[in-house]
Amino acid sequence: MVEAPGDASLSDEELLARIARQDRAAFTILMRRHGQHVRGLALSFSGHVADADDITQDVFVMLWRRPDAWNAGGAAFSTWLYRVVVNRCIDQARRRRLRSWLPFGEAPDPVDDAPDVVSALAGREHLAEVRFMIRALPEKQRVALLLAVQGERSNAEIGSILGISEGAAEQLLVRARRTLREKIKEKEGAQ
Amino acid sequence: MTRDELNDALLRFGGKLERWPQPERDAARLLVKGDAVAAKMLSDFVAFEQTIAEAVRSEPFGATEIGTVLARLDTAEAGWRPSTRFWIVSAGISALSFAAGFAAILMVSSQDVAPSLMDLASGQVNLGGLL
Repeated sequence: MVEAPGDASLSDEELLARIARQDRAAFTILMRRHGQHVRGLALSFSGHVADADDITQDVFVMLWRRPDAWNAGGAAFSTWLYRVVVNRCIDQARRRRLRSWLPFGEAPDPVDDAPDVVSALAGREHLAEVRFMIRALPEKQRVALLLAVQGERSNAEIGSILGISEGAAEQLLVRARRTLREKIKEKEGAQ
Repeated sequence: MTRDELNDALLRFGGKLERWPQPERDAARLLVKGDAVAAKMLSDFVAFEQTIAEAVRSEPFGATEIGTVLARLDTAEAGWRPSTRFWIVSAGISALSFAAGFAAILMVSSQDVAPSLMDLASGQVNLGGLL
């Protein structure tokens, strides 16, 4: 998301200080700056629009109410924010799994299929299949891959977000990329 | 660097060589410069990552999405919030209810009251023709 002139001059820390004084303009700048990544990660992780919207709104409402939740002396704000989003995604996935076991659970939401409506367009169907393959990855591999590809985070940052070492983050990425590459090759070979 | 090492490094660091650690980056550039197969491995991996990036490309977070969050804030702030007085009154009512329940148990446990309560529970008591 492109920021308005002047917005970029304010650091996340300055914005959060203003948000603590109930400055909605600062809050809007912060959402404009990070919203796409937050929602994008949540949507790619879960595949459910409703879940992604809930997580995004929860995260920003939490930031409005508790702008001091981030400790400026610790990890970078974006690293911390990704950590919050990842934790919420994993919690949401757990709740969804639990609900699916309950006899009185609600009917499952349809997976985000809006792009598939236009899958007649060349390539769309293939991308939908790749999304499906990504969602089939184990949770931590999926998160690591999304942080690398979508969030453009370094391996060290991914480790920090997931609370693991850089080497462990690399191993998650290796497994995720290897699995996906093989599945995509298989798919292309079958066509 | 060998082709196998290049493959390992691609899986670890991704297809953007500029983001690799310096030693691996330099070795990879040297390899792909003189090895067409290695160069193809790199370009295939970049294409693979572009496919993934395209598949998970996120929609812009625009005015509508921001407005939804702001509206939720307004709703939450306009909503009812229990005051300190509410909690004090609630605690008082809870304490009174507890005391009343305790007194009722004591009464039921006494010989005089228990039969009449049992009669009431079983519908045997005369309530002035109501039953």
